[in-house]
Amino acid sequence: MKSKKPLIPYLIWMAIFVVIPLGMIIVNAFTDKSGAFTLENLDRIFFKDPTLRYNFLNSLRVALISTALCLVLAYPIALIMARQKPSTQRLLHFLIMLPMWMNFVLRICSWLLVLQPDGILDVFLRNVGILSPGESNPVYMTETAVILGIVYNYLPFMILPIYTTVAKIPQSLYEAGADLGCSRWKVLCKIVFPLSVPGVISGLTMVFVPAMSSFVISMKLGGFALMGDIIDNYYKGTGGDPHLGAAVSIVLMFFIILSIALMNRFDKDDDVVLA
Amino acid sequence: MENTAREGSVLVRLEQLCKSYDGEQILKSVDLTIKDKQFVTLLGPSGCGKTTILRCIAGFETPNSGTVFFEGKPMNDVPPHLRPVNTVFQKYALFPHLNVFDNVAFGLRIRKVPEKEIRKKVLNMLAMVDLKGYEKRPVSKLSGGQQQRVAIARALVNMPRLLLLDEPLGALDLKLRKDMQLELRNIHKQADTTFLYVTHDQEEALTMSDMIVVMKSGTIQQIGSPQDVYNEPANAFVADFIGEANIFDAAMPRDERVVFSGAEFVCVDKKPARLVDVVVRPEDVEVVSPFDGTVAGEVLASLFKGVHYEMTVQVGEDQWIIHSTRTCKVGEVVGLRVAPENIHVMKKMFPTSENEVDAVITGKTDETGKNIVSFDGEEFPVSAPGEGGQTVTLTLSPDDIELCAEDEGVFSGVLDSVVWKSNHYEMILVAQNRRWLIRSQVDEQAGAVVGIRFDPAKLRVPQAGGEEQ
Repeated sequence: MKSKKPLIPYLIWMAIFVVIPLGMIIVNAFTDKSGAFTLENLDRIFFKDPTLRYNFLNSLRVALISTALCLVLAYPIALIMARQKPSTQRLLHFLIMLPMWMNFVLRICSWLLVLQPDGILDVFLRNVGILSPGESNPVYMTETAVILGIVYNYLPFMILPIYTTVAKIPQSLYEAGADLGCSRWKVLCKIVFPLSVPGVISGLTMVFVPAMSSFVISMKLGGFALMGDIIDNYYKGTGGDPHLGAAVSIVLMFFIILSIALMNRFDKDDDVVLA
Repeated sequence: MENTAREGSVLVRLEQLCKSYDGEQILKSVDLTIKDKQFVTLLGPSGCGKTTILRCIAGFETPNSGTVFFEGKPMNDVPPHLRPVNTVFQKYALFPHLNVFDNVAFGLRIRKVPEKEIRKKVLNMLAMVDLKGYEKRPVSKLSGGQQQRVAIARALVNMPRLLLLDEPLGALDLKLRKDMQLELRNIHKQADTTFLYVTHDQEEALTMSDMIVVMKSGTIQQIGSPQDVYNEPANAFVADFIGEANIFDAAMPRDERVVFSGAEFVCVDKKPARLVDVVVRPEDVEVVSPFDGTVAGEVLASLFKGVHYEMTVQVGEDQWIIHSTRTCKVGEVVGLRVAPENIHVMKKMFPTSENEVDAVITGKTDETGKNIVSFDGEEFPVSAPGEGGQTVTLTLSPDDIELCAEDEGVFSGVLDSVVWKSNHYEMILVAQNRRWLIRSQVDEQAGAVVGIRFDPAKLRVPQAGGEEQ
């Protein structure tokens, strides 16, 4: 038997910083301000508060659209990247990671500068003649701008896991596909894509989860609140309601776990080994 | 059978195929004809271009010039997936996300063969490669030999007109390799199709092939049956590469006589020549009493090799390798005899016995008054008469060239061939501007990058035997 002793510090850490806080949130979610047990918070989310329900579904929709867009954009990038020579691959990897070194809020605020009326985008579009003088782009303060912000922000998390799996596919498998009658497109569908599924799943998870609970982006670029912002508000200041906030968090978590579990069903062939 | 009409017809023809990577020529104008139904092996040391030929036929490489014909039709512009060939890859390249059945069925599914037919064909093919019952196994759970057979089945099930095999047994251990050699031979018979097999293992080539193509540095050295290349090697390289051989520098003073190892032997070749190579296979040397031998020598070593003894006999300066079922005591003096038909005379690989260089007299002299001559971008003091601007031919004996590290030599290049000539290595170095013949005791690998240096005093002007005015 291997000793379990080395695990102990981690278990203590997990207990203090994961299990106990999670327990507190769950307790909060099922109590009211006086500390008495209640289902009122869940009742509000699912039945009594149509605004909250609407916001929840809206968050889900925005997250799904953003995640799908990320996948569509990231897959070709990952493919092209994996086929470059190693030095180019490292450079591209670096360039993709580069924006991450900048603070998240700052990156979103710079989109604000780009999109806002008379901002960089407007000036550019007016100069090239797409917008007439005085006209502004129709994207600012819309859901489109929010999706743009989310896609921009989380695209690297989709590219990198896909790239990692695709880069591991040996050249000989492409050749074997061609040898057995596959056009380039069929090689992609029948060999490359199936082998990249683990990367796709982890990309989807890494984008969908934070997108679902993202905050700041929607307020700054869209002027409306998504679930992240709503939870944020419940916990803030005296007007907040931490118990409702906790309940919303728990419901959100439940849906995220459910979606991950669904996705992992497609990834049951975990014994695929690329030599 | 409808196939019999095709028997012996030309399936693939390569015409002046050239290919280079990064300025290095991998294939130097290769011409090759492959007949239908044959088991053809491309044999040569690594880097000789054999795999590149295979990849040009499969369509993974586009030749720089020259044409691949398939049944008379040029194939250069046909993409790999439309070529009537299938490949067994060196590391199998099985699809890890599919099980054995789906791997083998892959090509048929792409061609939209009805699923019922696929089932029948795949099961038949798996039975043929001895993998019945393995259909549902993931390929990662198979041994090397089993993966190998899946790879063969996956290619063969498509009934290609030509099956390309790129060192398919290279990753297997010796015992398994031997079994698979026989099995491949049987599969070739059963499949009734053409195999083009790439290997660097001469024994494998001899065992399996109908025809062997021996290659060296992008050129074909010899094409022939296994018996031909073994018994009648085209040159010292082929003799050395295939099987064990005693190779000697020799001379043929007249028809059916050849002089080497200090004695005159009777042979069956005609056309006397001043310089030839001679190959004698170790098993063709008869050990007799010292008085009955054409040559005699002392036994230096005797090793038991299972079916025979391998003896080394010192004859003058030469060491003979002899395979015999009888052994002799070390130190014993024995006579050696070779039947005339077992002495095989070959043309020399290097056209002259000495290196010949055309140098230009620069007009400068060194402190001792020797003319400075220049060739290949280097200058040397030589005691050669002549005035500035004149060209002189200088000779340099292969014995006077010394091998050294690449950056320490006057010139450097790649060793194109290294052949043991019973008492020295005969090497041909391909430097930037010319080929050098070198005789050395240093054991270097062919393909190694080395430098050469020599004493300029050894550069000689050949005795004017009437060539000068």
